[in-house]
Order: sequence, then C-alpha cells, then structure tokens
Amino acid sequence: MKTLLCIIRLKIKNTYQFRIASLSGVITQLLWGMLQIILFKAFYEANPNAFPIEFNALVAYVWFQQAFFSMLGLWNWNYEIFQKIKNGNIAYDLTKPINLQFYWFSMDIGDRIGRTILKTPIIIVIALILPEPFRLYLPENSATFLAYIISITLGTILCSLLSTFIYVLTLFTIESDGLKLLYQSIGDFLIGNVIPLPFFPDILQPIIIALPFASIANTPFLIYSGTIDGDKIAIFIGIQCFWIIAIFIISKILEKLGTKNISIQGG
Amino acid sequence: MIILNYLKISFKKIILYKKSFYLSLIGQFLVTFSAFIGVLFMLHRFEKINGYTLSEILLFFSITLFSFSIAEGVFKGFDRFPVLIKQGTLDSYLIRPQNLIIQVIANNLDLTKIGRVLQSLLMFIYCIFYSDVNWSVLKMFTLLLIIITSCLIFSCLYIIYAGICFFTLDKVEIFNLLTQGSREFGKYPIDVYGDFVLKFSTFFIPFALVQYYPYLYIIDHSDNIIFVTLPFISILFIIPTTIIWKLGLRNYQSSGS
Repeated sequence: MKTLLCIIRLKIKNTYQFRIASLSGVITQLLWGMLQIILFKAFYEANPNAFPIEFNALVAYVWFQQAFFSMLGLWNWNYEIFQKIKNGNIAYDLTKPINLQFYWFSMDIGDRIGRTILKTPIIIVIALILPEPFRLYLPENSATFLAYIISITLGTILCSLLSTFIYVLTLFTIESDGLKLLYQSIGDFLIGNVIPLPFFPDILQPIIIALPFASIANTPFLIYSGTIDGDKIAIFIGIQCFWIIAIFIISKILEKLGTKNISIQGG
Repeated sequence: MIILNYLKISFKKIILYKKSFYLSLIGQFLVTFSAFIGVLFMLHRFEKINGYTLSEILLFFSITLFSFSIAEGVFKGFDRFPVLIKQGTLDSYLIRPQNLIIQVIANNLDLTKIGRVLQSLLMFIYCIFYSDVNWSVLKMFTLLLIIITSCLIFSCLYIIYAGICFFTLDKVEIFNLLTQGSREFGKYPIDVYGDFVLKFSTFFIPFALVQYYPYLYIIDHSDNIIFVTLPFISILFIIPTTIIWKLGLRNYQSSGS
C-alpha cells in the first residue's frame, strides 16, 4: 500500500511539471467529446427510436470516456516493466522481498491515477456547465452516485489487473510489441471505444457484457446514467468482482510459472 | 536508392522477432477492421444518417481510411517528432548530408503498418463493388483524385506538426484532433458534424475540399461539376506547410542534451 501511494504521489508531481501539456490535453479531450456528441445527435435525429439508451445517458458515456481516457486507456502501459523484462533488469526485482504481481499492479495503477487525477475533474466540471446538448447531468440520486463510485473503482482495478496480466505474459514472449498491439486492438473494440457498447447489435449484447472489457468502463458509465438500475446494479458489480478475482488468479499462476522458467542472459 | 537500403534494414530488424511481427500485423489489421465493424453496426441500427445510406457511408469511410493509412504508414516518424527532438536523434540526422524529411521517414519505418494499409485496401475494393454508384470515367478520375490529394493533406498535416514541434520541443496534443481525429471523424461525411466543422474543414484545413465535395459528385448527391476541381485547390495547402516547416527548421535550437 505504501509503495502504491508513493508511486501515485510521484506521478502527480510529474504531471504537475507538465501542466501546460496537460491543459492542451484537456482541450483536445473536450473538443473530441463534443464532436462525438454532435455525431450521435445526427444519428439520434435520423431515427430516435433506434437509439438504445437515452440521449443524456450517451452524453454521460462520452464525457466519462474522455475524462477517464488515460485512466482506463488500454494503451496506457508502464514501459519500464517491459524494458526490465527485455534487458534482464528484472533479476533485481526478483531478488527483492516483494510480490512481483502486486508490485507491477501498483506501478500500473499508480501511473494511471497519477496521470488523470488533475485532468479528470477539470473535464467533468466543464462538461457539467456546458450548454445543451453537451451538458452532463448529475445522477438521479446519491445511491446511484455511490454505486457509480464503487463500480468505477472496481473498473480501474480490473483495467490495471488486465495490464498486469499482459506484463506477466511478456515473461514468456520477452518481446512485447505484438502482444500489446493485439491486446489494445481487440480490447479497444470490446471496451466500447470504437462505438459505445449499447450500440452493438442486440444479439451480441449478452456476450459482450459477459467479457471482462465491458466491466471496465461500460458498467460504471451506464450505472451513472441510470441505464443500469435497481437489482441489475448488483448483478453488474458482481460480474466486475468475478473478473477481478479470475484475472488475479490466472496471472498469479502464470507469474509462478514464468518466474520459475525465467533465464537471465548475460551479465 | 537510399530508401531501398533503409527498407532492407527494417526487414532485417523484423526477422529477429518474427512472432512479435506477425502479432503486430494482426493487431494493425484489427485496428482498422474494428472501426469498419463499428460503422457497420451503427448503420445497421439506424439505416440512414443525414440522408446517406450504408453503402455510401462505407465507401466514404474506406476512402478516408485508405488514404490515411498510406500517409500514416509513410509519415509515422513525424508523429514521433517530439521524441526525436528530445533524444537528440534529430540532431544526428541534421549533420548527415541527406534530406531531413527523407531521413525522418526512412529511419522510422514501421512495416507492421502494412497490415493496416492492406486491410484498408481490401475494404476499399470491397466497398467499391458493394456500392451502387453509376461509375463513369469522370467519377473514377474523381475517386483517384480524392485518394491522391487526401494522402497529400494528411502528409502535410504531419509535416506541419513537426514544424510546430521545432518551437514547442514537446508534443502538441491538440494536433491529435487533426491527425488521429481526421481518421476517427472521417468515418462520416463532414456535413454530419454541422456547419461550423464543415466551414473549418473547407477554409482552414481543406479536408472537405478533397473528400466531402468531390464525393458528393460521385454519389450523385450533387451534379455540380466544380466540386471535381476542388481537390486541385487543396494543393495550395503545400504552401503554408512549407513555410511552417522551413521556419521551424531555421529556428530550431536543439533540446540541449
């Protein structure tokens, strides 16, 4: 836990150093989100009945995608870890009395939180005061908001666990470029970055929702807007917990196998 | 030819990590393929947007994607320009007796991008057969013109980005809106995004001149023959590009490390 907090603090300092760049990132994100909303507005006007969720729910979905762009971005890697595996410096980590999986997980999630903690609130606050049709609405009641906070926390943990899974897999492949790209391209589609998941054909919905990627972003975003409500909230949070435990166990086993067979070349 | 030499070296680099190369190739293929599926899902659900049908949207998107993939494949090095500046790699290019643009392109070739170009080419061919355009010689000529000038505009954007980086010495995120954004939002004809975006991309960054207006002529949404000549006007975009690049290069003072 101490490691985790320390990493987050360092990352925030780093982001603060480059605050002009962060600001330019915020503007980019805002414009990007507005263009997305204009596009969906055009679809909405073409055929309002075919719209799978309420328009306000879509607006919230788009803004959260932008606000959590780095935090839940599958492209957001900790390159240090890949380098360590490739150049053999991982040998030092193996001699330390730390849990490798947890150490990598802390580094990854610390990186994510540190990078976003300044940007996310700014984007959300601006989205709250934008004029129609861009305005982000507050959730219906505080219970919904609480469920949203729990769900987005679980989503972030799951996202970092999945990254950790890829770091562990790299123990076997050594070169990571192909693995990363494959994971990103499939994941980006299934997480809802190409089109929001509710817009997938209805037949595919149950399958998409059951996959781990849907639990990262789609679940909290839809809980916020009330699209997922009542008893369904418990089920969706249950799916999130299931994947967190499952991915944790699988990477743990792989880590054991990987570190047993690892061979460090050279000096 | 020096470019061929560079290509040979890039190939040799790949052969060292074959498995990773194949995975990257598949990954690149999937990036564009999923974008295609996304558009398909949206149009399947809504059937029409702003009066465009599925086949019209798909052809438009495939044209954008194809030309963008080519430009991105060649000019990817310019996307990494801030890194080149910070690491001092650019300085080592500058002392060599070879054109700087060629060096940046050739030293940063990423052959996995072939997967992307190939995918977009397949999609483009498929969409041409799938669409119900009444082809004429003039329309085919227009199509060719759209692709060439789109490549040109995308390439200019990359060079402008590099030119600006000479001053900022750091990445300019807002530029992603023009490079990555042009692919993301180029899925649909520009008028979908409303009047302001259409005007912006007509008079400021001439996306609409090379894609939107001539495309209207191809799908018979307009019979205004002037639209076919608009891509030629967009060639003027080279002038500001050259100015920004030259100005940046002259003012470049290295990152100092």
